[in-house]
Amino acid sequence: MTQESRPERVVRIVARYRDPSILEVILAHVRKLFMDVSWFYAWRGKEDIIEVYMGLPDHKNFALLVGNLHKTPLVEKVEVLEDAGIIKWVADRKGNVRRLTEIDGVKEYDMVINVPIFSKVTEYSWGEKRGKDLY
Amino acid sequence: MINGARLTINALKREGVKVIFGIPGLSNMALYDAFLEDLISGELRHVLMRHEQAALHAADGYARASGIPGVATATSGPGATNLLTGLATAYMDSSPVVALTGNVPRSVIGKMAFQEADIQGMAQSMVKWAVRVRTLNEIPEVIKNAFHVAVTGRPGPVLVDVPRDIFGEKVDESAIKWPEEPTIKGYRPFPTLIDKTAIKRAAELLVNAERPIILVGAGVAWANATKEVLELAEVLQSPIVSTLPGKSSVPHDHPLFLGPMGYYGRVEASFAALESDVMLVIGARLSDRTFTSYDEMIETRKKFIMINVDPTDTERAIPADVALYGDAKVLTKEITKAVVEIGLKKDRSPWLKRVRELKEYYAQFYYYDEPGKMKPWKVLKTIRQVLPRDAIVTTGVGEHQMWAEVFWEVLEPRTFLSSTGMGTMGFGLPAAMGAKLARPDKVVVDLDGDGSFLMTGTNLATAVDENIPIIAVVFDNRTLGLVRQVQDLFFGRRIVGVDYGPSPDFVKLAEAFGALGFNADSYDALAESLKKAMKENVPAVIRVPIDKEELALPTLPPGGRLKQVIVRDPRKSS
Repeated sequence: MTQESRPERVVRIVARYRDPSILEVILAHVRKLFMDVSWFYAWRGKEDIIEVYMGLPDHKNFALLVGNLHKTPLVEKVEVLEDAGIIKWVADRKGNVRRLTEIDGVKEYDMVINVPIFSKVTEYSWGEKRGKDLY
Repeated sequence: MINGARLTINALKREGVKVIFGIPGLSNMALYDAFLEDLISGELRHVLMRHEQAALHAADGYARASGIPGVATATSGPGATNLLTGLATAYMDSSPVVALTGNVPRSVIGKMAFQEADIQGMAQSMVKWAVRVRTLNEIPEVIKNAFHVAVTGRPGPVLVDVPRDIFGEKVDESAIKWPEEPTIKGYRPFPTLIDKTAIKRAAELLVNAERPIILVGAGVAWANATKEVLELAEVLQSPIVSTLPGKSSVPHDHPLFLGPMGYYGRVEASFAALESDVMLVIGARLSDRTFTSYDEMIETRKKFIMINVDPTDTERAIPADVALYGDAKVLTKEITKAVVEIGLKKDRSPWLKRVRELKEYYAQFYYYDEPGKMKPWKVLKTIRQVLPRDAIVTTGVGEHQMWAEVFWEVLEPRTFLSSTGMGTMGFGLPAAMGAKLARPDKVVVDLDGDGSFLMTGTNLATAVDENIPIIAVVFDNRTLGLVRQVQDLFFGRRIVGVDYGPSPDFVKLAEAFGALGFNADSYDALAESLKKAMKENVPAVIRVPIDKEELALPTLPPGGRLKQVIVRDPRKSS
């Protein structure tokens, strides 16, 4: 069901970490809707907050996914990073960081980091929707 | 000192739990040891079911009949996995149930220990929340949060899994912190938004409509909004139709109620829904059983006003012209107020006349008799005449459920309990047992099919042992009738894998369990059997013979639109 030719959607999910099941639940929502994941980052921040960034090939079920995720227990909010562009950075195993170029490419153990660039966020949280410009 | 098991029981009691349905095993037996004194004192009741699926259905029936969460418990491994069908059933029908499973000790989890199953992982796609207790100290707040999540917003089941070594750990009772309020973060019940502009717009649409209709779902019953819906319908002079689960929301003897619409619904209800120009949807998620083709509804160009507690439901199927989010009772009342302020402007008599015509026209197809055969509509009419108005009825899943959809007259809210979203065969009997324990003052009858009944029929033993006087009326056609019907009508009459042989004899089966057994081969015998079962006030099974060839009509071809409804037996016309 991959639709690589269509643009990528980027979401940020802020949730409460109780155990790793929160990641299973998030990804199960994606899987159930026949959607794919292009990239996925998650980390635990202060206290019990976990932040998840996902790049998803656009799909007709995207709105359904956001709707389902935003009413999932332990999920504080789902943010759609509108029209997000991606800048790819590469960190090598020595800790050096550089922009990814076609010439340099990626070697084994290099870590590719997709950094979303965006100016508008639409936030969904338990039945409420808010938009905010970040200019 | 107090151990984890006792702490869990205390936490359940603080949530008002009175009844636990379940089966003990190695991983939850500490709970049983902990509540023995509560059983002796009568503070708790445990119902020993014959299968964990039935325990969950019983808890589900308890919740649907009372609005109070039902509780089920199972041991690890097969006990826990047996709960899954019940959890999925409760989830699809938004029923608040808390399931408590024991699991293997933390020291052996992941080592393929005896009866180990990752029940949290398995269940989390079919419950509202699946949570595993990690330490003894978490128990009070996890239980508190579980009940909070189960009953708020769109209700649903919650699974709490506890490794059994935690049940055995001890803590100083004075050190326990009991949360007064739920502490769960990252969860909020959906708010009720009183958007005055949207309410006014909804009222204007309804007032100015030529052909308004109100479609009610089970959300009306969960919100206790029946009175408000009827008031609005009366003010608007608007017909009401329902979804299948929404049957439980409106008394069917109300003059404006047409019946359930949809796949196996009443034709007049479906057609009135199609012909309407404004539809107010209250507490329904518009499943593919209600609107079998979304395009068909959109093509009518009607305006949709939707009230739903879950905002993601509102526009999932059809774009709403006005969407109102929150409690159905509050929002319906607000719309009524706004309608009264504006005042009714249109003459509704042509629309009500048209609806009456539809009703009268299609009645000719429903109520026909065949000598020598028990007709489902007449069986249900006979039962209705005998049962009190407030009797609670459950169903299994199959043709009998569809007959009940069309012909069973619900006269009080929360008195029709059926697995409508998941369509789980075997739901009827244990759900009836749960409903009876929730509402012991009511007569509770399981309308079942022979195929569906036998899926959980062993729990009749529990009904006898535990003195739960429910009555199962088994529509016995010796076949999986609904599947057979589709094979017959749409698979070129290639009947395969559906017909049963002569086993069992339902009367002897009932008697073997210690229940009353009746063979009701006439309407009079049926009425007498019901009266006797109610008088004796013990579990009973009444077998009603139904012709294998009997169809569940109206129906649609697979994937069909409401307009393609089949009302006559197509085999006879050919």
